[in-house]
Amino acid sequence: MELKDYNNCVKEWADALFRFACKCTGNEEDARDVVQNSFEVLWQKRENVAPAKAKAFLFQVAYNQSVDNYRKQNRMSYKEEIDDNRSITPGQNDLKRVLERALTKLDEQSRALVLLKDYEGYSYEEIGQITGLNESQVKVYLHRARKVLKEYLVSVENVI
Amino acid sequence: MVNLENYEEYMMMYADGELNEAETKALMDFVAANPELAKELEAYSATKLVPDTTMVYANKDQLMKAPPAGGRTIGMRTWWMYAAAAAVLLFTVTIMRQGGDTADSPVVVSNTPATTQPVSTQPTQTSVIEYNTEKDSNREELHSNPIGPVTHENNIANTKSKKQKVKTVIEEQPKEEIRIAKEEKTIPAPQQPAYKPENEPVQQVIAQQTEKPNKAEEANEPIEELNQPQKQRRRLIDLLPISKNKREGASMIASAVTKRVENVTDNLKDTDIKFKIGNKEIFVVKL
Repeated sequence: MELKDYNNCVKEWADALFRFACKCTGNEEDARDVVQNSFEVLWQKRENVAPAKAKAFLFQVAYNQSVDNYRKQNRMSYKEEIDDNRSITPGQNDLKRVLERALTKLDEQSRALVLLKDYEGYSYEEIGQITGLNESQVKVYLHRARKVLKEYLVSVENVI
Repeated sequence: MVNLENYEEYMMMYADGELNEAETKALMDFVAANPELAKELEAYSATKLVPDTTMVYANKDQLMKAPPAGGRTIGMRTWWMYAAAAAVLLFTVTIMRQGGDTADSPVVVSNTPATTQPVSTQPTQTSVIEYNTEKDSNREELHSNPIGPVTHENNIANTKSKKQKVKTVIEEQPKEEIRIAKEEKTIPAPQQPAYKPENEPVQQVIAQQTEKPNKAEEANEPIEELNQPQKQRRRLIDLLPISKNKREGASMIASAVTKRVENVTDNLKDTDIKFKIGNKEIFVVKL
């Protein structure tokens, strides 16, 4: 990978990586660190990373750092408390916001899998390569996550 | 085939976008046949997250890398070269200063007379080597003059005549001339009065010797052996960015060190080995 390819990756994937890291860590500050570190690693390893594989490489680094970061600091529980304190009032049934709240119910790994699937459209196989899981594991974890999200949506709908 | 056992998995795969056309059609047909499942399919479909494109990473420029500027790289290299040169210079100066400290300390002077302290009955080790030729004796005199007080009174007294002799030697030996001339230049003028008083009692001269043992020692140094390393040291010393006084001091230290090494060699060759700390003789090995 050349300098030009690297800079193109920044332009192309920095935002997506930031959104992914934000949802994974639940914290913008940590997400910025994750993005910076991910690109720094990519720069250091640029000789060994083909431009076509750069995006997956970035998400792999970001996934590892986000999940590690979350596991160490466990900040999402704090965020979850804040979210739970928010009252869901009729008329506030914005699906997007409800889904974001539902996302906090997932463990860090399942959340990352859903984000990789929905945000980036990766296949089970690609997610497996990024996360180090096999395809079957990805499918199982994702389906568990979907079920949790669906049940949360249904429960909120019933409350409303 | 979609059925009541596996429809949920199909719905989740549908939400994941992992179903092909045929599988999608099969699921839709199954839901159409079981309308009570339509809401569940809708709920699963709703779990699909949509990225918030308004959320962007603000400082992309900081992540980007600039092509390496040639000038800047060279500048860094130059900087390192200067740093390395400065380090070497600092090391050299430090070593020189440490040497100066050592010279100032009361080091053993083997020809320090017993008047200051009764040391031993053994003859002093740095015996003056007598030179047969007039040239050598002249040189000895010349060399002893700038570096330190001399034990022989006649040496101290006849400074002018010595210089004349030196000039004669210089004329005779052009190669030696440069060396001797340099030594003469480096002679610190203020030191002259120390050797001047001819009428002073011998005790006083001896006292000076004990204060500056290295200089006294060097006075008796055979010039032939001493000049060579001294010359080399002078050249290095001249390059150092230190004051003239310090340079002269360093020069004398260099001479003293050389002399000491030669003394050891001579001792091994000729008579015996003495070890002294300060003016105290520790032991003597007689060979």
